[in-house]
Amino acid sequence: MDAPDIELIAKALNGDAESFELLIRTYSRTLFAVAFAVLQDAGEAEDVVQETFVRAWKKRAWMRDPAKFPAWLTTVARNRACDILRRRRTVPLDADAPEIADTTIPAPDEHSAGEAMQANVHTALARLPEQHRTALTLRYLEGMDYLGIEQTMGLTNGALRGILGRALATMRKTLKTNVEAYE
Amino acid sequence: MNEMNIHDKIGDWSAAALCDALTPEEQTNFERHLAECPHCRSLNEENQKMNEILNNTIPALRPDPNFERRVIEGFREKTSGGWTQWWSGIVWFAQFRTVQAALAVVILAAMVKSGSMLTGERFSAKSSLRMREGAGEVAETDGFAAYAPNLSFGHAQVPGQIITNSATRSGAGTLVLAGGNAYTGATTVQGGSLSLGATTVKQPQIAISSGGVTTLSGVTSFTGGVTNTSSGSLGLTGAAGTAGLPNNIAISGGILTAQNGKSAKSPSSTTRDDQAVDGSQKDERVWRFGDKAKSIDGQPGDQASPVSDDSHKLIRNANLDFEVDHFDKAVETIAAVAGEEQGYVNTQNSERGANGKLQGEIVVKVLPANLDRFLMKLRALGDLKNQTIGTDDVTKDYFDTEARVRNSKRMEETLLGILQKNTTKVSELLQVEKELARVRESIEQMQGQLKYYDALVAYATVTITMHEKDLSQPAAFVLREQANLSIFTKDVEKAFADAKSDADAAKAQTIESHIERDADGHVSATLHLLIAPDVSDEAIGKLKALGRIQNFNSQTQSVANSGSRNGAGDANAAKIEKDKVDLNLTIQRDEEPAAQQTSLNVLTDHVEEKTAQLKQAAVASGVEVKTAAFNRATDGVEVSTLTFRMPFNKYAAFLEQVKALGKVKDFTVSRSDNAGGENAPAEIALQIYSQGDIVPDETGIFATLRKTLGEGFSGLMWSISMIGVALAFFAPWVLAVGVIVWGVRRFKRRGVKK
Repeated sequence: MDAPDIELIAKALNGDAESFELLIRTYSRTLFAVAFAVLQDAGEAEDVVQETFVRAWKKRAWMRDPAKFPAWLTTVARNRACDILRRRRTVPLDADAPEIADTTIPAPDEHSAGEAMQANVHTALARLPEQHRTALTLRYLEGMDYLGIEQTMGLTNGALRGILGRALATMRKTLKTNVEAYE
Repeated sequence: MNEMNIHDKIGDWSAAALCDALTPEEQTNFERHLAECPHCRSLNEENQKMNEILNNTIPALRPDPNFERRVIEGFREKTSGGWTQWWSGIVWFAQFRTVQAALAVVILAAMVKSGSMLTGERFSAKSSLRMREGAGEVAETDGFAAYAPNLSFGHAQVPGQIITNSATRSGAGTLVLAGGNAYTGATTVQGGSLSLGATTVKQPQIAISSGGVTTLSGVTSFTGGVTNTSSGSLGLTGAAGTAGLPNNIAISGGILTAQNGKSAKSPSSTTRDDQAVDGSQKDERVWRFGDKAKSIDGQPGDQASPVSDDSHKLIRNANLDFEVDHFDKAVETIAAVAGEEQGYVNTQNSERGANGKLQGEIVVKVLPANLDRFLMKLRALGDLKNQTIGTDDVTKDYFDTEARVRNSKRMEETLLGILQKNTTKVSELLQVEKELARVRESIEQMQGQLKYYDALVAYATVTITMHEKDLSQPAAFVLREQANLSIFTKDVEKAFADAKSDADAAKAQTIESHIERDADGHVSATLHLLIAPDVSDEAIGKLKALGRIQNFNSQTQSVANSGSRNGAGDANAAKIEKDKVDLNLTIQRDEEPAAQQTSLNVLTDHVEEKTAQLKQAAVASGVEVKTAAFNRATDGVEVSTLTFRMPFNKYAAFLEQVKALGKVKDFTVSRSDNAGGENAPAEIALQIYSQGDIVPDETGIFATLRKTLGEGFSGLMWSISMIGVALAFFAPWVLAVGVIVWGVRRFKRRGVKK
């Protein structure tokens, strides 16, 4: 992490609200991606992001190492999102789609290609294991590079390669017809 | 090999390539493999398509540009609350070790303080006020109090030392302890002034070495001393002036003023270097002290006896109590002395006791002025036991009565005036007459009172009580003999009859006599006699012959007749009379103690029948059944308790009969050595009992097994209950420790968390 970043974090942790707001600007989208990966819901993810920052502000006294702050934020956001997910688990994620990961999702009709494809991708994502989903979300939603994803997820080089590869493969299988139909 | 690796993990490689995560070398290898391997190539193409799809679809899910703004606004809203901010501020503040330590100290101090308030214990015993110079700042310390500016305390407790002004500084301040103070420390006045109000001063030394006016005004209690070596003035101004003054005043300079001296006593031990009285007002005494070394023992105001004058009406009286050798001689002396002092013997009465000694009372009237001298002269009369001299001030009563007499006389004149006018009716005249009579009566009464007062005032009354020595010597002694005789005999009735006839023969007076039989059939008799002293010895001797004497005791008491035995008189000189002998005679049945005691238990069945049989057998063989009792309990156990008494030669045979009844248990025999002979009595205490028929007497392996198991089970239950107790005891502690450990670990994890 960059030195100025650490300085900024240290300032924010000492109670400088302006610096903290800068931090919010820096990390909110990453946290959104993390939360979204878990929850698959933009509104809820946004709430999680906000709660995470409020919590971080309140607990800043206990944060002694600024370098660990981003990772801490991610963990908090992820845990919070998981809490919400767990709470809503009783309601089926998607009542229409049966929970079978192997089933392929048929390609959409020609005329409604754009929106339907979006929905298909969304459904496929939802079926991925959480770790895979997070990796993909960080990559495509946030456009993060390898290093960023690894840092955010707390992974080492080889692990992320495997995760991404397997995630892509699963997606490919699930959306097989879609891919074939894609021009 | 690298090729194989790429081929096997083509998915990963392809994904990494899509993310530009391959090193240039890897990228080259990857591309080379793709060129060679159609399978991998097609898969990579699919991945690229997938990548494109995702790139086209997922970013649409990105939050809108206002996302950050919304988050920040929400954040501000949630953290801007004063409470939250304050709280987070406090939380942030609390992270510092110093703050935590301070907080812990504060909490501890609060606990100590509240504890001390609850228990009333002081945790710092020697602290006192320290008044710093200048600022009037007050701080706790355990030294002394020093002050420079004027300080005034309405209510202060000073356990330490007070120094008014320090030695190095010479100020002119005044320390005023105005009221409700209590202090025990030593006080040094080195400058300035000290003023004590209603203060309780316990054992301090007030040393005034220099400085201004020191006043002790209205000090309620002062047990220490004052030393004044300065030229300053020491003022003692007490409300009562007595209790408040210090006992010990050492003065070698300055002025001592004692005000409000109506009843002011001079300090009991006062040393002065010189004295000069300056001013002699009634209520104020002032002494000035210089350097001259001259010691004066101060007992100011030797009081003379108070004597009545025109403005004071005092009644003086004295009571004296003498022990004299001869009453009549003493009376003569008193009369002579009274004559010398212009007095007279008013009344005299005397009484002669049974032992011929006189006691009596003489009332003498003397002129009040001569009373003291008269009393001095009386001292020679004999042994003065008690003396009280009193003065009654009747001034107020006297003059009040005089005034009332004057008023009444005026009233009388007015009434007489009304009578002389003939204008009134007869009934009114009668009323006036009646009123006049009443007024005259009251005037006479009051004048009588005044005359009585005059008489009392004119002469002092001396009441002399005298008694001759050895007044309490007894006139005679009576010897009263009290005897108790207890006799055992075989035939109580006969002995009782004999005793009565003996008593009649001796012409003894019978106070009480009765004969009775108790529950066991034993007869006993008592006889209470008064026997003339001259025949008593003979009569008692006869009575003693009635049987075996258990005990006889006799005590003689001499009772003083008229006067107490403790009197100083000579007891041998008194007459001695013998009173009747008081005799208590008890006759009891003689029973020889058993020479051999046997006790045994017999287990059998049909207890009741066998008991009856045994009793019959006993009677048949000449064995006496002393007691017999039978009892059946609810569980079927029958118990029969018997005691037998028999001559020794029948003992062995009878014991065999007893033993034959059943199973013998607990057999004990005790034999006393002193009783012997063939016919010495033997006793058997026997208990015949049966087993209860409900619980069988179990034996055998199963019974043992069951017993063992039962005991084991109850032991197990006991230990389980003990474990429960232990759990209940430890649970709160374990819980508390667990909570603490959990909290500490949580706290640590917070700090370490990535």
